[in-house]
Formats: sequence, structure tokens, C-alpha cells
Amino acid sequence: MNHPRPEDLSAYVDRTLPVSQVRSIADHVAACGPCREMVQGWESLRAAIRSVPVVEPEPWFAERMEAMVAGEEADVERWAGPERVAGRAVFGLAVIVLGLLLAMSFRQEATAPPVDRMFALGSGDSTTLLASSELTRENLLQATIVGE
Amino acid sequence: MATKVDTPDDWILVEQIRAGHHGAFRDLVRRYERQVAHLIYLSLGRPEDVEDLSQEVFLRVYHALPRLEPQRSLFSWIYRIASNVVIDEARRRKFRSMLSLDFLAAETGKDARGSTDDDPAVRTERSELHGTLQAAIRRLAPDQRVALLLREYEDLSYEEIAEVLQTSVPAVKSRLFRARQDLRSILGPMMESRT
Ligand SMILES: [Zn+2]
Repeated sequence: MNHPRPEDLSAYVDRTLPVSQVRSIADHVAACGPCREMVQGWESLRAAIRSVPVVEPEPWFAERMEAMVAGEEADVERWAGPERVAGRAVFGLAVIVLGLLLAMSFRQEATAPPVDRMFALGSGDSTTLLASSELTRENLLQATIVGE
Repeated sequence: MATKVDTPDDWILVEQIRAGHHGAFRDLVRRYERQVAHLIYLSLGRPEDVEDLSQEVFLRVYHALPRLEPQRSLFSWIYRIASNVVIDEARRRKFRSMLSLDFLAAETGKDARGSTDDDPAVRTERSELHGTLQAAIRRLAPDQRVALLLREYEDLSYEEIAEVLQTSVPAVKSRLFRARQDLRSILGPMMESRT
């Protein structure tokens, strides 16, 4: 006996096959024990799945989403709104001043590094310390992955 | 593709949202929150996930709306976003559940809404059946799981499922078949004894 492809039997349960195919599969299922058992098993599985209760959305969920996107946009406008030009100008100025200060402090370091820093850089300890701490982190990660 | 769930004013809502009407977004959420909640709950099995993940889904919807092409079915598109959120979370959770294998056991027997049956024995048995079924559904591969839930709970056609999951109709057909086969082998003798 030539059984239908299992995918077609599953589609037959879903009632999504063309009429001509439905007829031939229905005839086969009526005559073939194993295929009938498969179809009946899937049908009772479907009934069981559909009986699982579901949760309802939280009350006022839609209202809270509305408030959330409205709040997000208010935050964006606080920074980008045309009426905030003055505020942005002050912010921009502050960034420039901060940048200048940073550049000045770097120049100072380049010309005269503090003695203790020179010592630390020269000794190689800091490099070793960094490498070993990274190794530890990597080991831990490895252990976690292996453990899973 | 227009689906049976799509209504013409979905696109009116989209236009209003794009124009900055937050009330239209609220209406859109209200229209699809139930389906999204069902998908999340049935896929992940914990009622406490529903709100957080629904929120993530609708925020993604909101932020992606400006780039949405008008010919798309809004329903399929929202479902696709929800499916991605659920599949990501399911993968993350599988990863985590390997750390604590009691996850499935702890979930088995849980029932979100409870049964309305008065007989405590019947109620317990039904709740156990539902818990076992949900635990089994969660053991399916995430793409199979979503396909099955879209078919069984939302009655989507194969074409609609293919659109949501961005795949072909034959792929949906084989995914559903595999989901059913895997579910039966996971549930094994339990289903036989009840049918
Ligand atoms: Zn057969």
C-alpha cells in the first residue's frame, strides 16, 4: 500500500489540501490503519492544545503603551525641539570647553609624566596584571559554557 | 497580502500614528494585544512574562512603523515581530534552563487561569494535562513552536504563517508536520492513555 507523504497527512488534518487530494487521502485513511492512527493522534493533540487556557492582556495595557511612547517622545523633544536651541548651544559650549581642558591635560602628561606613573609603566606589572585578569574572566566564561 | 484579520482601518491607524497621534497607537495595541499575549504565554508558559514581552513587542512595532511598507499585512507584520521576540526569548531561556534543569518540572502543572470545573479531581487532572502539554510545546524548536501555535490558536493559513515566519509554504507544511511528530514523541504514552 502506498501511504501519502506524512506532510500531506498533517496538511490533511489542517484541511488545507486541494479538494482532489483530500478525497484520495480520505479514502486511504479509511482503509489504512497506521495512517488513520496518525491522523487521529494529531486530531486529539489539536483538541488538547486548543483546550489549554490562555492569559488575557493586563487591563489598561494599551493605555500604558500610549503613555510610554508619548513619554519617550517628550524626552526626545526635550533635546531636539526647536525651542531648545539656547539649551543646545549651552550644551555644545560645555562640550567644547571640556574638550579643551582634556587636550590641555594630555599635553601636560606628555611633557611631564608623574614619577610613580613612569615607574608603573616601565615595570611591566600592569600589563601582566591585565593579561592575567582577562585570562581569569575568559576561564570563568569557558567554565560557564562547559557547565551548561 | 490581506489577511482575514486585517481591516481597512489598520492603515488609517498607521497613518495617524506616523502623524504623531498616540491615541491611534493605543487603538492599534488594543486591537492586537490579545493575540500577542496568547503567543507569548503559549510559547513561554509563564503568565508573568506576558506584560514585559508584550511591551517589548509593541515598542518594536512603534519604532519600526515609520519604515513599514504600506502593502504589507499589518497583522502578519506584528505577528512576525512578536514571533521574533518569543523565539529570541525561548533561545535565551533554553540556554538558562540548562543551568537549572528544574525549569520544566517547576512549570509542569501550572495553569494560568485555572479551570472552571468544580470537581477538584477533574480540575487537577486537566491542569496537569495542560501543564504537561505546555511543557512539551516549549521543548519544540522555536520556529516549529510558533508555526504550531499560529495554526492551532490563531487559525492562520499556511500562506499567512509563511508570511509571518518569512518562509515558504512547503517549509511551513513540513514544520507543522515535524512539530506534531515531535510533540507526540515528547508526550508519548501520556496522549495515548488519554485518547
Ligand atoms: Zn497508509
